Amino acid sequence: MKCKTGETSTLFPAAGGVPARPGEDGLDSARMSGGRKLGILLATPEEHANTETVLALVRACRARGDEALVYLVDDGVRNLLREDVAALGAESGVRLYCCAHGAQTRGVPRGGPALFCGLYTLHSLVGACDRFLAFT
Amino acid sequence: MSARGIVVVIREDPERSSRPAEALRIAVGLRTGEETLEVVLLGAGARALAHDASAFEDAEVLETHREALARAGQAFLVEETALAAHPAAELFHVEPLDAAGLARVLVGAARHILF
Repeated sequence: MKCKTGETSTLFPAAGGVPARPGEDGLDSARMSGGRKLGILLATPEEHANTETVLALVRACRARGDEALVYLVDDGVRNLLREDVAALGAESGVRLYCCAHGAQTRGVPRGGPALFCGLYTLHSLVGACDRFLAFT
Repeated sequence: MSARGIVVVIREDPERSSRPAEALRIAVGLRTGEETLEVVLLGAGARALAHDASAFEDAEVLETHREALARAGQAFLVEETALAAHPAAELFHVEPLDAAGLARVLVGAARHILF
């Protein structure tokens, strides 16, 4: 399978898939890369002002050459219905994760560049990032 | 991450919002690692430990995950005034928390998630 940079990698499951085992969520490779990592948890729906704040933070983070790891949970999974949020998953230096349980219960379809996963990935993200912000 | 841990704070009323249930589910997920986890209940959030949760939003999710935390030995730090107003069921290990204690918990953690 292909990761975002076009390199073949077993660390990046196909978009929309669920990592079968710890380490398949790409966070191990995130730990090994050089830049700083900002972790963001977004739990509010797409119409909430938090979404614009998160988008601006991710842009600022990338402009500084840092990585952004964004996890959508609870009503935050509905942000995948926004094109600008969904597009983050295809950007270099950005990892976009979506709670599979939340997406299923809210009818958010799988697909696109986001990685659908469980809370183990959130735990890994919390541990992998240098700074962590929760927008709930 | 530093040796300091994660704190999940629940302050919303579980009868009015499903977010306390989601916060408890997240807390279970975050407890899988080596980092210490603190679960803090403030104000109406203390109702999440009530004996009868049947009227709560996402009651099944809330009950399942609060009991999973209890079985894992997770203590619940509850604002002392909220605990007086919303007693917890006997199943749960509860530690009353005053303002100074809350400050210590928040300052002592590296990651904070508030619902």
